[in-house]
Amino acid sequence: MTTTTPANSELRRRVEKLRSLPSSPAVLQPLLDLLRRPPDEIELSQVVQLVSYEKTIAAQLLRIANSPLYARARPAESIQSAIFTLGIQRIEDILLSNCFGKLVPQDKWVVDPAVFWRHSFGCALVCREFAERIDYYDPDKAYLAGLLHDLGIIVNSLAYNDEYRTVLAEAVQNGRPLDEQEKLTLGFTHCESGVILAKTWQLPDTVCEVIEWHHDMEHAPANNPLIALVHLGDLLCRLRGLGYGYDEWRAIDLAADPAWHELARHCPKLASIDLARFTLDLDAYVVRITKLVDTIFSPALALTG
Amino acid sequence: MFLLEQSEKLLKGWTFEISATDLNDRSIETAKAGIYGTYALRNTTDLYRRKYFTPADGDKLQVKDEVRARITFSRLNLSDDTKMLFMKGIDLIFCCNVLIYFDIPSKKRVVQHFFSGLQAPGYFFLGHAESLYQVSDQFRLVHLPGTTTYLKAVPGSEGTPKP
Repeated sequence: MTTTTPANSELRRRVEKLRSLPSSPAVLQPLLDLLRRPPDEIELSQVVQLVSYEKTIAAQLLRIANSPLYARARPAESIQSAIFTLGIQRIEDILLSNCFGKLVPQDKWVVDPAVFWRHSFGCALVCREFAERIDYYDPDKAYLAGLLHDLGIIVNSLAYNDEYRTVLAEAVQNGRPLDEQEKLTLGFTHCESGVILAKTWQLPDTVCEVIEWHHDMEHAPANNPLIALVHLGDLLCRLRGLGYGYDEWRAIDLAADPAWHELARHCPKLASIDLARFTLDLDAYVVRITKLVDTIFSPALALTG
Repeated sequence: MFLLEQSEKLLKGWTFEISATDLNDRSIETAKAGIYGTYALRNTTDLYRRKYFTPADGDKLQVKDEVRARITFSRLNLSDDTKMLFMKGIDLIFCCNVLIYFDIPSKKRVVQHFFSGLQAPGYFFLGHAESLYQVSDQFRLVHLPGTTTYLKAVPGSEGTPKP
C-alpha cells in the first residue's frame, strides 16, 4: 500500500495545487462519462453535443475524416458524416487528446505529445483486443484503462517539469524503463502521482487501481484482473515500438510475468493464446495508431480553427 | 558482420562459428558467392557496405572474403534425422520461413532437433509471421525490443531472462 514518505507528501501537495489550475476543459467530464459506457449505448446526439463544445474540434474532425487515412469517396461536409467516418471510438480519442492538449501547455510536455498518444491509444487498442481474445468480460473498460493508465506522466510533466526532463533524459540514455528511472530520480513513479489526479477526476475505481498498480503487480490488489491486463498490454506496446520514444534494453518473458498468472486465474482462455501470433497482429495496430496520431498532430491540422 | 564488428567490443575474447545450410545446391552456391543487389541491401547501413563489401557487376555488392571465410556452407535436409542429431552446442538458430513448408508432425520433429541442438541458454529465431504455437511448448517466447525469439532456458531458471 502507499506509504507516506516525505517525497510522497510533497507529491500530494504539488498535485493538489494542480487541481486549482484553470485548465480542466469543460468537455472533459462529459467525455469521461461517455468513455465509461459501451459504444452501443451511446447516442449520436450526445457525441454531436460533445463535439460542439469546441469549435476547433469540429474543424479538426472534418479534416481528419477527409484525410487520406480514411479514403472517403466524397468529402465529409457535416459533423455527422465525419462522426460516421471516424466512428465514435476515434472521436472520443481525438476529443481526449485535444482535452489533454489544453490541460498541458505546449512547453510543459516532457514526453513528446505525439509519442505519448501513440502509446496511450496503442495500449488502449491492445488492451481491448487482448480482452476480447481471452474473453475478459468488459473489453471497453479495458480500452479506457489502457487509454488512461499513464495519466501520471501528465501529472509529473506538470508538477515536476524540470525534474521530469532529467528523468526522461536519463531513462533514454540508459535504456531504462521510465518507472524505474522515476523511482531512482524522483522517489516515486507516475503510478503514485497519476492515481491522485484520477481520484480527483472520479474515474472508476477499477481504472484508478490500474493507474496506481500497473507497474507494481506484486502489491496490486487481488481480484482486479484489469491491472494485470493493462500491465501486459503496456509491456507489449513498449516492446513493439509504441513506448515512450526509445528502446528499453531488456528481454521479457510475458508468460513468466506474475501478471500473466494473475490474469490466467480470471481468464482461463489466456493459457491457450498464441502469443507470437498475437504479437505479430499487434504490429498492424502500430501502423494504424501511428497514422492516426500523426494526423491529429500534423502541423496543417493544428493551424485550423 | 555484426559479430566481426563486435569482436573487439561486446564479444572480445570470443570465437565463433557460423554454419549456413539449405536443401538446394544452387541456393548454397548463391549464398557462397555473397552477391547482393540494392533491394536486398536496403536495410544495410553505409558503414557495413563500405567495410564488408566490394563492388560487383552492375551496382551490386559482394561480401568480402574475410566475412565469407567465417561461414561454413553445406547442404542439409532438415528432415534428415541422422544429420540433425549432429547439431550440438549451438547458441543461436535462425530458421526463417522454412518451417511454413512443413506439415505439423515434421515441424515438431525439426523443432525438437533444434531444441536438442541448442545450448541453454540458447535462442531460436523464426520468421516474422511464424509461431511455435501447437508445435512445441519447450521453448519460452521472449520479447526483445522490436522482435521476439524462442529461448531454451537453463533448467530451473525462472523469471525474466537477461537480454
